Amino acid sequence: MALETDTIVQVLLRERLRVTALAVSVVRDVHAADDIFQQVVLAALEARNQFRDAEHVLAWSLRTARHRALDLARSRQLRPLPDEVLDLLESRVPGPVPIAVSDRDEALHDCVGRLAPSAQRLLQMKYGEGLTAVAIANRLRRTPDAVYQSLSRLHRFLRECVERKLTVSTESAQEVTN
Amino acid sequence: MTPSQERRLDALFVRYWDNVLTPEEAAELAALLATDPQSRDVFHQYCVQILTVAELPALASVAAEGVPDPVPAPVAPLSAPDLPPARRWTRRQLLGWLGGGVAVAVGVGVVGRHFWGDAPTTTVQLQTVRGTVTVQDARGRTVAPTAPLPAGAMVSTHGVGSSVVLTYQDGTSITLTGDSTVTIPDDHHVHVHQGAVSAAVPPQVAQTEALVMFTHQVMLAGLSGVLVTLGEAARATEVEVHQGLVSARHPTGEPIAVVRQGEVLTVGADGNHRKQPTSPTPEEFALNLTESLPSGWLVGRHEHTSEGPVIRTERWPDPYWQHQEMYQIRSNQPWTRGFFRLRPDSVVRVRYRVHTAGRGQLCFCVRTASSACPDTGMLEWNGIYGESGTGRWDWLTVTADQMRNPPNRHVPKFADPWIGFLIIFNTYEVDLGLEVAEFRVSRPGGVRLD
Repeated sequence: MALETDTIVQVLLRERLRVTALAVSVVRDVHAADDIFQQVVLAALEARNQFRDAEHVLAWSLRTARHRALDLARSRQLRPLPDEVLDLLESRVPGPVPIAVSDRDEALHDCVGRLAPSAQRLLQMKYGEGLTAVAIANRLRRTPDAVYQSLSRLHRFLRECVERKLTVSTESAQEVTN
Repeated sequence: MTPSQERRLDALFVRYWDNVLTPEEAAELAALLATDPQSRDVFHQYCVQILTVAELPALASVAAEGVPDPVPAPVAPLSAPDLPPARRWTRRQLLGWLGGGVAVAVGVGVVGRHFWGDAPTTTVQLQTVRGTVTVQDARGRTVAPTAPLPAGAMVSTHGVGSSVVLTYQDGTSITLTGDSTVTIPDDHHVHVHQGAVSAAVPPQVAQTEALVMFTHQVMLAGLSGVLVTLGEAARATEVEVHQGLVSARHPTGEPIAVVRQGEVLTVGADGNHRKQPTSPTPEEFALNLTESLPSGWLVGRHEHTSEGPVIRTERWPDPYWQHQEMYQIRSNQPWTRGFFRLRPDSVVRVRYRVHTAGRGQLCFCVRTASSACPDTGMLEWNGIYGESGTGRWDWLTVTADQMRNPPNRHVPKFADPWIGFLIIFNTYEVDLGLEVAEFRVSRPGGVRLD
């Protein structure tokens, strides 16, 4: 029996980050990844009769997003990751400790808020506006290598900051449960 | 994944994003991702970071092309109720607002393109750019800081030592210092989002439209013949009048107070306000750790221990060091008021403890005696924490004059008094376990603390 439209939309909205993250990992453009997600949702609704269950919707959507992202990447002459790596990223299973998307978002928001305004601005220029490191370097009168170095450090800081926050909240939740 | 593999992945990722990896680097990244599940997790987390960062309200500048602003940007000069939003919605936010109505969102996107047109320009020009200054147009795109500014431009200065002067045809000048951001909707309005912004407005001719400066809490209209500093922080707005007088109102137009030369008005986030004479920044200062740290304190863990309250260093990416993570304590930045007034013979005393001896710094960012002047400098102590022993309380004592010594490369180029507005303890990349229990500034002849 075909899934209801509402069910398909619910699945995709719940997994939006995962689908869009796969797309953005290929096209490296946040706005293009958003477009791809919208296209995947429309295509999924058109193809709803073929879906057996929610897992099927997700798997189909990830594969569709990947194909569309690869098409766009080729048109932009971007060097993609090898197929075997994309297979692994597509089939990636979340970690053993379930973390709600909202918790991770909140932690990330908090961690970004701890950055200096100049660091936030750097992230905004790179990923919000889509500027290359060379363009940013020109604006800020630094070298591209210095920009890359700053970006990699900021990514690492945010990752570790989020992990620390989630570890603390998980431990607190377990204490309350116990 | 080893720490070196982690750092390598971090370095490769940002270059992969720009499609600038060499074939060898691309093969290295592929091999790392193919063989190590943890690397794939990190790669995925970085992609999620980017998606989330691009849409966070604090960072979202202007929607991708084609998405209309939910509140149409006014073209005519603003009155208080017509304040434009500080940020436009991204496509993601609009998608969420519509509750996932994808078809509608796509339709809106198509229609939205018709709302976009080329923004008019103002006559406002940038001059005297120091440090890091960025300009975004009304669509949030970073543009070169060339004159004149487009209408709706957002001008930001980043970091201590950065400043810029915006000049108007009538001789008005607006100065931004440190981490400050303003939007210039047109020739007659300045929207202050954060930081310290000073306006020098010559006497205006009758029948000309006077400048209006506003934050989300305060509006200063009809500025003429004044020198005023507007300080916008998370929980309060300060209006300090150096020359002339200003009429402060709520954004609704309701009067708050008339602020005269030598007075400062503080308007809290709750709407309460207080006007008082501008008192000189004190020469005596003591950080009170028995109470909560001041609002906006940036880095450092405030803890109450069995030996009393302390503040401890935390790991933080320092922009001065290309966002290298360093162990620091870093205060808020009360530019207008400052923490303390320093003379060369001012004495700084810190009671501290480390579990490991190592090199470190105590730094002050200082400004001139006038908050309307953007000049800044640094006073630094560079030495070894725990040189005379670890695991026990010790005193660091230094004079302001000594803090000008080498290796300080940013000594103030202006005479004292130096107004300290940012306090930094730094032990670089090594965690010495630095704890600070007392921090005091005094002039000679003050109370001894041993």
